[in-house]
Amino acid sequence: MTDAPILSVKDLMIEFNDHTLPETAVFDFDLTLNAGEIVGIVGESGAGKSLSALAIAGLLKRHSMARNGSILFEGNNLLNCDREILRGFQGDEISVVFQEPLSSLNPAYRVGKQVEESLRIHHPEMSADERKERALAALEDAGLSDSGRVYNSYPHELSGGMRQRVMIAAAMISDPKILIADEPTTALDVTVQAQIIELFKKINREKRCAILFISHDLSLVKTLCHRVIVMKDGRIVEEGETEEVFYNPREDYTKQLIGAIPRIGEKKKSREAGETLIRMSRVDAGYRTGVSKNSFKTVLHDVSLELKAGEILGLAGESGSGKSTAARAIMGALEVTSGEILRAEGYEPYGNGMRMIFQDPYGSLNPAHTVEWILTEALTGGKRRKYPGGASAIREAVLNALDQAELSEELLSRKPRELSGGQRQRVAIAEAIISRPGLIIADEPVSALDVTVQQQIIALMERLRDEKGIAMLLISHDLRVIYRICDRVAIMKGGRIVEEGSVDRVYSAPEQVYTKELLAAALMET
Amino acid sequence: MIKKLLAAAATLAAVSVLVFFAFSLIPGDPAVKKLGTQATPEALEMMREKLGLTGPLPLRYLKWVSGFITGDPGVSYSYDMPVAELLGDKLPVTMALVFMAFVILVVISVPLSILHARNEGKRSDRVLLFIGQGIMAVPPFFMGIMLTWFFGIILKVFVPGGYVSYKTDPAGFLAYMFFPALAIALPRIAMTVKLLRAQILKEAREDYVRTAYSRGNSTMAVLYRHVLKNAFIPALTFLSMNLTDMVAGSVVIEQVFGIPGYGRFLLNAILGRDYPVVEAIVMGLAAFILLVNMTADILYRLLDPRI
Repeated sequence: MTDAPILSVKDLMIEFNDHTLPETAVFDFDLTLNAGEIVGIVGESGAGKSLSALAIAGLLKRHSMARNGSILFEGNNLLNCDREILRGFQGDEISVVFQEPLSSLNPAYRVGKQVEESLRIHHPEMSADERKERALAALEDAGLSDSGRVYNSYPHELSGGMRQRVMIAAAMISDPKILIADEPTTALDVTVQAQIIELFKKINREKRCAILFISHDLSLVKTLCHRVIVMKDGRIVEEGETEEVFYNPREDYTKQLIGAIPRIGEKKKSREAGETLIRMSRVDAGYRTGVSKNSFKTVLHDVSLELKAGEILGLAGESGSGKSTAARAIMGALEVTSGEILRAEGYEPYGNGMRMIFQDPYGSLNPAHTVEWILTEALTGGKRRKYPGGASAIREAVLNALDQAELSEELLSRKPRELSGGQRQRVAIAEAIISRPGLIIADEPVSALDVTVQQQIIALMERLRDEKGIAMLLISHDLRVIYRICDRVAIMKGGRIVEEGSVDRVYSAPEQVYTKELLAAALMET
Repeated sequence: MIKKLLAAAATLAAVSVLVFFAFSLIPGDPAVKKLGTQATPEALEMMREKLGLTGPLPLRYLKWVSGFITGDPGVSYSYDMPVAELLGDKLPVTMALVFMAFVILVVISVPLSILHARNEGKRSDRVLLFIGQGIMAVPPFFMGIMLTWFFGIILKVFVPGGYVSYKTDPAGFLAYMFFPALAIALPRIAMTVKLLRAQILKEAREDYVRTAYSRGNSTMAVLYRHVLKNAFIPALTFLSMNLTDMVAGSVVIEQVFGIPGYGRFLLNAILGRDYPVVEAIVMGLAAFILLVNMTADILYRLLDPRI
């Protein structure tokens, strides 16, 4: 499978002068990449995996960091060599694919021009026609059969998956020896993600191109990579053959990381659901996009859902499937054109019975105020003076909510930016439960979190259901998370519910083709 | 595009209604102004008849508008000459002044902001920022006086007050207009550089810049091939706003440098209640602003494929 080493990194040390950045350092990083090999680097945010990859790609600003060690490629140390030499390799021998295909493409130029760019830089002798021919071929190799149209498109005119294929085409056009892929599928839907992974496999097989694959997603690394490197806090924790690391991890951290992947297959205990809180029957709903009469856009079609006390209902689907819109309909923020939404008493729109938690806790917590202020606001709705029981009752409720969310009292005086991602999401949960709601609507609550933190938040949500009997609607694109925590699941596509049932039934015996596809893509096991 | 044109036409029509009726409602009788307070009522009535101030307002409006469309916006009260003829040799002077100022603005601020952005954080960057801050704080008329004093009286590069008409000596005209144009442009250059520098630096932090580097582009290539186009898109609005604003700003500068543009003429017309002249100038300005905005819109579409 593999042969001679083409890249060897020894004792790589990178440290930024600016310690306010989350990822500021890499220590003692060693890596040998053989021709035709796929090596994965996994770790949580701040582990230094992207930093190491960017260093190898020569994309770190040299003047802002302290560096040591060597990155040897074709007899040159990329860490210290002349910039001209480095540039000669970039885009020609070493190519990079980034996480966000939209922002990584220049919005003002056509795709074709960007795909060809490496050729124009490294092969100025090539004619424009020849370049275009190569670009079209590269686009087709990347799975874009309609290459002529894509060539003349602007990035914003393409879908997320197509954009990432464009990025891959641009990287592969010069037949590089090494392809560095930095979280290339993180921003994509699961079915697209699976296709892109297949594309990487094909590139590796047919072009014999070595791939350095950086990801926080262990299951992806497991399906794609021959060897894997596990990083934590800027250091390599463990490395070895993929099978070996996954089935026989030596280090505790690796075990913890693998253990945190929600597993599918463990039988779930069935639970008694309570009375119905909210029942949507055959709801069509949407919103206005402008002032004119025909600007009404119907997003939900014929959606029927039932939320019962004490259970967690999962709402799964890819982006644009209408999951969040369904949640907004339940919150009462949408115009219902047909069907009806029945609510139990106390679950009216904007009442205290329902509360929401969002994906990005940093964006949804007011950055100018302390945790105590935020929680007090959530409790009293800004009418602090009129709260029955006065200041001491407020304080008690705040401390109680904090305790429920497993946060310590000393965080009260902190502001959101002084908290970690997990702590912020706990504050958001405390904010949601402080008014003692019977239902929490959680929109992708763990998607922005590292797996180990994700696991803790999921455990907290389960505990709130079990101990407080809080019902939840959990919106997630991650079918593993849904399996782990939900009692029932509804799969959405194009604003409709495709399939609904108990998690055990849907996962073990899906009835619809789309559900099968989605499950296959999400649970990709080798 | 057609929608935009229609919208512009509608805006112009609305402006014309506002302008016409507003001037009709202003207290003060042009006939009295013309004949003096001693005139007999009969003489005043005749004068009103002659000036077209009798009859129902809507009818007078229609007459005025149709005159405008056919290129005859009426007769000046104070000069007894057609407005078109009066403004005919003044507007080109102002336009030349504004256009020159705009060219100076673009030619100086674009390279300067690139230089500025490339040296981010270095001493030259800070010095330029400081100078820019200072220049921004100087009002254009004072800038005009300073330029006259320094270049006209001390260095004797040009003769203050020595305006020559573009009809007799085009080269001399352009040479004389340089310093007034500079006085208008300088404070705006400082602002434009500040904005463009910030735009360039913002774009330079975008993800696509990293992609460009990953393909082996040099710093210069990244700047010129990738960053600049994106950085200029938001600056377009700013530049077009500046262009329209400079027309208003030129009134004062024309006074300082003794240039016979529309500025002084407008002031006199307002003081002398010479409504046909004022109305014509206001309409002209409105049309100019609409034209500039539309041009900016078209350029926007050409530069930014997302719109």
